[in-house]
Amino acid sequence: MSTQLRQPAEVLFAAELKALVATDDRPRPAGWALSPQAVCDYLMGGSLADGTEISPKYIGNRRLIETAVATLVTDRALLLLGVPGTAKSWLSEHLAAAIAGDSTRLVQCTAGTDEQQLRYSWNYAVLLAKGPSKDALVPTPLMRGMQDGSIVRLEELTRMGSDVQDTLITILSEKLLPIPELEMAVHAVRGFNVIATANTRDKGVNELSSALKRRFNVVVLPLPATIEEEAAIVTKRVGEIGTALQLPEVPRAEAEIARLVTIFRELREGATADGATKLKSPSGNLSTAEAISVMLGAWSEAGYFGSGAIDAHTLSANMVGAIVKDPMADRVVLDEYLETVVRKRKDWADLYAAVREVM
Amino acid sequence: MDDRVHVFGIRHHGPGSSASLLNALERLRPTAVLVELPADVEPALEYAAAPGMVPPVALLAHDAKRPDLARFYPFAEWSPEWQALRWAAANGADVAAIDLPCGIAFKERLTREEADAARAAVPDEESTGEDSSDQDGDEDVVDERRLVAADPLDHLAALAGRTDGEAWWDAVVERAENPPEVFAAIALAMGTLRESLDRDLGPLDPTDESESGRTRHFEQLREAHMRQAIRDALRSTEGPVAVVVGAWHAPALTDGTTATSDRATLKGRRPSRIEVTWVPWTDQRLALRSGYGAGVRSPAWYRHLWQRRKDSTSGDAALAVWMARAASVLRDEGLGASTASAIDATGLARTLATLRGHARPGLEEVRDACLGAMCHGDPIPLRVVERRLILGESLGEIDERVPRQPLAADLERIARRLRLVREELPRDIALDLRTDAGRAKSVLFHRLLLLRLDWPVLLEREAGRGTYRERWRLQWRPELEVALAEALRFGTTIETAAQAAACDSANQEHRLGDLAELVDRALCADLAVAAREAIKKLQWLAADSSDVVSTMAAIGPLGDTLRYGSSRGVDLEALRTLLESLAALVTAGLPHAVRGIDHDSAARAGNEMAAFDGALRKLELEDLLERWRSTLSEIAEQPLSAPFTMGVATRRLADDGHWDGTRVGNALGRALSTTSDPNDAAAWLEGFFLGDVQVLLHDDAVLERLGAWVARHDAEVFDGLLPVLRRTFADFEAAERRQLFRAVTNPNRARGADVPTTTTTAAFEAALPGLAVLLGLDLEELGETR
Repeated sequence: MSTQLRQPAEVLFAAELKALVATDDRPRPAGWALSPQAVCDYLMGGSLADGTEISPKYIGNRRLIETAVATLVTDRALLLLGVPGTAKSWLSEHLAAAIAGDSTRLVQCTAGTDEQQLRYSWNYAVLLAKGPSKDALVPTPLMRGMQDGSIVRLEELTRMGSDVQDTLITILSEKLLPIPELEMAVHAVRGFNVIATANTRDKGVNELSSALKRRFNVVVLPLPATIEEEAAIVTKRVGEIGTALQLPEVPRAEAEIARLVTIFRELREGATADGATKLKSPSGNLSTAEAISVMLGAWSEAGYFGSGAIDAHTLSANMVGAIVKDPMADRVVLDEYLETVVRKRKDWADLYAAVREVM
Repeated sequence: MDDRVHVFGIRHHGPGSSASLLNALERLRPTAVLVELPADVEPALEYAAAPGMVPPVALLAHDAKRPDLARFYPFAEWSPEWQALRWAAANGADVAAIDLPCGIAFKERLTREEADAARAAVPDEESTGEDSSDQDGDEDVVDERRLVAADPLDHLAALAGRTDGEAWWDAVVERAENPPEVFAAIALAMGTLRESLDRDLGPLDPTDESESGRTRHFEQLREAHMRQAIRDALRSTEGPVAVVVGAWHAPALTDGTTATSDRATLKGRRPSRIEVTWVPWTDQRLALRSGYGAGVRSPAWYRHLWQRRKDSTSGDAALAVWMARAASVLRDEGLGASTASAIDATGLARTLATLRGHARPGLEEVRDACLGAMCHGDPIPLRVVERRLILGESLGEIDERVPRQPLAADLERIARRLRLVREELPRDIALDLRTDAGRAKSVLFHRLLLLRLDWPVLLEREAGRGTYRERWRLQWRPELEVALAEALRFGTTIETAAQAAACDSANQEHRLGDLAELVDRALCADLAVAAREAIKKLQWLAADSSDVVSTMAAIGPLGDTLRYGSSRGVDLEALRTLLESLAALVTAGLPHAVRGIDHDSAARAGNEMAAFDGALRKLELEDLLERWRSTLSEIAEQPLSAPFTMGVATRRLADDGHWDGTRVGNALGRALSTTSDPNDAAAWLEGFFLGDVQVLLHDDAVLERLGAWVARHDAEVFDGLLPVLRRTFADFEAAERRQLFRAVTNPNRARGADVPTTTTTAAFEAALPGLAVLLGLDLEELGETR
């Protein structure tokens, strides 16, 4: 077993990718490891002609995935937008793995990212010794991606300063990276494209300039469509992460997960599941990812301190903190929710009492 | 059957079907064109070719005696039936409607409803709720979807490996350029599908009362009638006969069933008399399921396809035109969408079509591409495009020679029954709601008002719903005919239309107070469904509103409705539930809402609190009252509350005895303590004495404490407080101020045995002129009454 903490998608799913390559007889765009249809199959899952089972990587709307893949076939770049916890980076990694066979050409954009980290920088020792030359050039993942015609991932694009973002305009429209010092330019090889992710609901982000925005087709990833879908995702991920963290064994808590997901969804959507009662939404976004971390918190608390089982008590202690981000406004929201919804649900009496206790 | 018969299986409202059909008609040159429309609407078909008809339009057929038994048959310009009618008119072919007459279909529906009603009469706790889902009068839509519990197209699509039947048909038939043989292929596919379904379902049992059994039975009737009508047509014409029907029926019309057997199937069914007229239709309504059952989800998109076929634009050019139009629509709304984005979107749409295995982009691809490349993934701008270019905003027009519509007919009928005369001169009438006639008239008038048909105007309603008198003024104006035609979009009878109109208002309305009023109006008009709708909307709005104060304002009128509504014989449980949950929102949110607000907002909040308190008390809901009291206590004791509201809260608690004198006194003391800002103290007092001064006149403890507080201050501080106190007392009525003066100055009040003895001192006497000024009274005048 590898000692590497986490392996990239193309290694983890190497067998599936290999089977897809073997059975895929549809035309492949230049530089692509698979045909666009096979990329969609890899992401959405299914079974192949030779009997190989492809596990679903993305649980949700196939049409979104098709739009994303079609975008990458054209010469436009792909921007995945969504609130935190909607599998943007996950999808970007798997897209790159399926299309280029390599998901590690990655730039993590931050407020401190400068142009050199996008374009290229210099090895100053060589530069001083030999003067400007190709040898003194230190390529970035973006430049390498252009050279070998693969997919480059830009994580959290909007966290980068606007002036740095605009470096991408020429690269995306002319497929060209000029190196004026050497009087040359890197021309992108077929197969090169960019997948960027950005989240729509965060502070300290820099809006894309409209010139840059125009170079991207945007796919907005939604939160899971149904309670069942979301509960399944939470159950699956909590199980995976918790086991990896070696948390103490506790009984499975599907019932509590269902309640938590219901509460998160109702507050997020501003209406009860039956649509009968309208609610206020708290300031936090209460994504699936947060539901997962609340469950992990409850698990850890139940395992180390509590009764050994996840119940209304361990759940509510972790849940209130996730919902009440703004001590004034969110408290009112939760208060109203407790009174108008939780109190009226007969089998939720334990939860009502437990949350009241925490508040 | 005769080889002169040519059956064309189409999809209702399919532009591709229309195009193929027109080609086929041109080639065949039939002398008779038969369409799948009820036989008894035939008289109205001649108007289809009239020059003033602009689609979308609809045929409206309704029972002559029961206009609520009605159905619309909408046509878009690209509907195959419409094109067939126009072609026949232009080429001199006979036209016939061959489907089962509405007169029989309506009777069938009645029989069915009666059977259901008889069954429902058996007590069943589950089915107490009124079924409002079939308001549109389309219950008898016998469409293939119900028969096989799913669209038959879905079955074919599933065989082709696709999930959505409509999308499959769109790709295979509508979008493609089809050779004339397409109709034979469709008939063959449908025939095979029907055979296999018949095998699955087994032979038809005439006594089968289940939904699907009834539907199959009805299908059989319709197809028998169509076959008979085709036989008639063959007898009356020499040339070829074109039959334009939904693809589903195509195989059944030539399946060799004998005339004798068809006659037997139809035996003994006499159609009732129906009225037919044309009404203008809209794109939005085309998108609804009505008449043919199959609504088109995207009329404007189909119009685009139809236009493209007519102009024979190439597919790529048409796509580019559509995208350019989308960009221009977005720009009209002030959203940036450049030509470059339109080009990118066109490219993306094409790639998507290839990826999904279509010959050219369809609606889904166009929509996805527009979203990704032009709207930056934001669904809100996309909605603009959807509304204008996919759904559409066209309104049809009707030729003026076409006869009139059923809502007017219904109003005439009701008016005749209630002996109401249309007069141009205004006439006042008084109604006694205790009589049946009075109530019936009142209900009609309230319904007309909801439909914005201001034939009657409510002059006066004596003191709310509890009473039984109303006065109205009636005045008929010719413009009301137009209003009636407009109201037709809500329904074909006054009752169903008023119901729909009120529901519509409920959806449009965003003010809590107005919605509360709408609930009342709907109850007066005896429209339970609309009242429920308004109540539901109120609940949604209230939860949405961060404005707790407005929520309180809505509760007063609702409370009145709740208390008096029962005289209208309406179930008010929903209203009670709403009121309780609104009150719950208020009690939860109010303490936060009255924190840190300015004096004017506090005054508004305080006044609403007082009104809300009164309303709650009248309702006698103990549980709520209990929570309300604890909310008041919280407000009164939490130092951050606006002082005015604290005063109001303290007073309410004092009045109902929830707080004893000591606690009230303490609150008073805290509010008036020297450390508090005098303006705050004044605001507190203003709130405390809101409305009246009775508490000072009747509660000696309060009076004493106030007195002690005033007396505690030395002259300098007192001078400072004077304007503040003056402001508080200046709001009282002169009579109250006089009483107050007397209470303070007269030691021999009936209950005033323990009045402080200091009142008689010379110093007090000396201070009297000052007090009189403070209270704004004339001392001379008071002296006489003392």
